[in-house]
Amino acid sequence: MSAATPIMKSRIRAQNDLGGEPAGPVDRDTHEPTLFEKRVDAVFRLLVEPPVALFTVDAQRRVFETVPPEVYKTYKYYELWLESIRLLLIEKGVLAQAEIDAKIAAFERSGASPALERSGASPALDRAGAPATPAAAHR
Amino acid sequence: MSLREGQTVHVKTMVPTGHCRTPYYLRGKTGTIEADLGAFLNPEELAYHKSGLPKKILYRVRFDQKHLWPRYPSARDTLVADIYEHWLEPAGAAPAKRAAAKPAKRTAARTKAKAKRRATAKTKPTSKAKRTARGRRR
Repeated sequence: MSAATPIMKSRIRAQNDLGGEPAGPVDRDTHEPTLFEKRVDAVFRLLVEPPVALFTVDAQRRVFETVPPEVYKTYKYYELWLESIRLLLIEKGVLAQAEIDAKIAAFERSGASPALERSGASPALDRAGAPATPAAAHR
Repeated sequence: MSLREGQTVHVKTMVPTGHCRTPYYLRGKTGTIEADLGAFLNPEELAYHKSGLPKKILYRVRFDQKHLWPRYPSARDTLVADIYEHWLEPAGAAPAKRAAAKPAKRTAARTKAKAKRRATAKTKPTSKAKRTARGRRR
């Protein structure tokens, strides 16, 4: 997917704007935040709040809302957060996809893919490629 | 544009291509201004790394659930949403009358004798208090 095209012009109703659509009962299950979720949250806060303040929560929402429909439907909530962080880091020129790919490749070569394995992240993330990197950098 | 508390407003039926914070199901609906929450940087601009200026006034607007969802079972429940000023425009008719008419009719169906007394004596304060209490919980 391209990081540089935030707006879907043909969409009449945004894919995230579901209020009133038939969707069955609300899932009210709760769980303790996983290590993966805490890490994503921490990375997000470090990027949004001063002194970094790289982007706003509004920008994150915009990116979150405009990922391709198959991503929006299959990713879990914090996986979407991490995907939006990846897209914004690229959009703002902080990281290039090639750098992210190289870091992942390095992890794979070393046999250590610690962030993913210990975090309970889903295989969907693995396929998407990028997301372990920011969390891994904080180890 | 400055809107005052108690004023009836329409939510504009815009369908912007970019990021916005006004739910689709509220567009084109009529509500009542409950409070002026102050001016904030415009999230529709912040979403694209812009300054967000000029600031926009954010209003708390109350809607009748029955108005939003025609098959909604209760005529008393309301929904509160925070909506930015550029999404709102003043409306002509007051929906307060429409809202008050329905519970009065239902009461009348149960006990005709009490209904009239209730409608005149009780309807205004009670229904408002209940609506507020219910709205807060949401």
